[in-house]
Amino acid sequence: MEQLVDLAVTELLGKVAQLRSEGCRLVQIMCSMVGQDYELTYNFDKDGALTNLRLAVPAGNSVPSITKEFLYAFIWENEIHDLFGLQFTEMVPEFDYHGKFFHLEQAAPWNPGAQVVVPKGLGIDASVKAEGGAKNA
Amino acid sequence: MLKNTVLPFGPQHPVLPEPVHLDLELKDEKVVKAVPSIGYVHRGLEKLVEKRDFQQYVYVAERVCGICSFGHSWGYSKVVEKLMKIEVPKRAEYLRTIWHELSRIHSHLLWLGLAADAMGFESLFMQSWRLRELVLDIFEATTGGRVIFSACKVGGVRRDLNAGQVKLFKDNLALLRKDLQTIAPTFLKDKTVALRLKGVGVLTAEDAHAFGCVGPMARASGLMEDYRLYDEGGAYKELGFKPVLERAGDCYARVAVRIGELYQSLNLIGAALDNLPEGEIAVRPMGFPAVGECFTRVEQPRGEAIYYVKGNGTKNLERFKLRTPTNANIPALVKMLAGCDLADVPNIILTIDPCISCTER
Repeated sequence: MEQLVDLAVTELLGKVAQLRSEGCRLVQIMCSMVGQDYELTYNFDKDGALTNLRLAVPAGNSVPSITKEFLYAFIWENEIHDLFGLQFTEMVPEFDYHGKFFHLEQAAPWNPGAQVVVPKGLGIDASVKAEGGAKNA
Repeated sequence: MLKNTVLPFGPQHPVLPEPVHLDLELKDEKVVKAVPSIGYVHRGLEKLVEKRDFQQYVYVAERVCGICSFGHSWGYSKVVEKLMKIEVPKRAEYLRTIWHELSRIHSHLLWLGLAADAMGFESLFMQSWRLRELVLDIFEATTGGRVIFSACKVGGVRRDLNAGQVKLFKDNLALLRKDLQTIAPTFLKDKTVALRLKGVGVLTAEDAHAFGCVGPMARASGLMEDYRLYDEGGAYKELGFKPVLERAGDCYARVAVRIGELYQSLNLIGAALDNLPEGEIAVRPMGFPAVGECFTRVEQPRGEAIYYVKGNGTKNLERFKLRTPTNANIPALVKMLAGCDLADVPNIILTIDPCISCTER
């Protein structure tokens, strides 16, 4: 069986920073629903060996983004946000797609109870306008 | 005065074999920022694990992708075998390695054809796909299927190779090697190909590491990322596997890595056929998957895939999750597109070898 290290949400950033300093690579972030709550699993690799972190997140709570340690975590944090409605706080702004990563008919389809607000507009069009930057020609 | 423009790229585009959407923010002809979005081909395959028993689900797992279907059936079988503590016979491990490396050749030849097509080199596209037919013929002769061939199962493999099939393998692969030696130099030495690919979409080793690259993408930037180095399954340790590396990190280097891997896979299959152990090809799983969770990985043609299962002691698994290589390479794609010329966007996207149906499952 797999070794899973249970963590409190408050311990996440410290543990991730430690793994990064040890030369680990983030392999994926995985989310499941356990009742109304979220179960997050973070997998890290070093020389072919996995370290697996497990977080239990009560419904309605948020999780700190790890994009400041592993920038490319944005791909999984955006996916989990869009499909499960879990909020990640302090994601690197350039890679926070505000619910626009998945094209969905319904917000957070895998957790209908989640409260998710998706800005109007399509993809970058919405985010660029929100930032007051480029506009469509 | 330059004006920024947002250009939608995809989901339907001649260069995209599968639907993915990119919003490209342009300043004149330069891409300033690229924002990816997906969700067009999600099929809910992971959820089906609740409805099919653990033996039946292997047929679903291999349908995650049409190109690396064998690798997915192997990854799923391997993680269930880990959960059930099943020791797979050595002959089955060799047969799995042979079919998996043949799938890599299939995938890379298909991709080389698409890359040639994206450059407008139609005869090279046709030649690459002509070679792919030799591979599909081997699949058909040894398993009965050409793309989805259901050779893998929990506990081993469903089909063995007889002497005639081993000979067909060797004859077709000799033909393939000979023909490859005629088209590979066109990819690697032709002036027009070099002009389209060299210095385009450069990803340094530092960036490849910082953006979590896997597979040929990472190896083209000089990163020693290849799960076959550590694989607890297959026959890689016995066969003396060593990854193919390039350093330039551009589109050309990604082509060169894949061509190098074609020769490498031919060598691996040849060595595995020559050293195929005698014995059983499968063991019968006893009981149902235990209560617990397991991970395993497979080095797919596009890079590392990770497989997760959660068992609950019944014939149905509680959860199956797969992270595919394209999913891990999208962040690097976003990085490479920022600052490139609009005309290079198709080639850069294609050189990550995107598989969106894998990514969305």
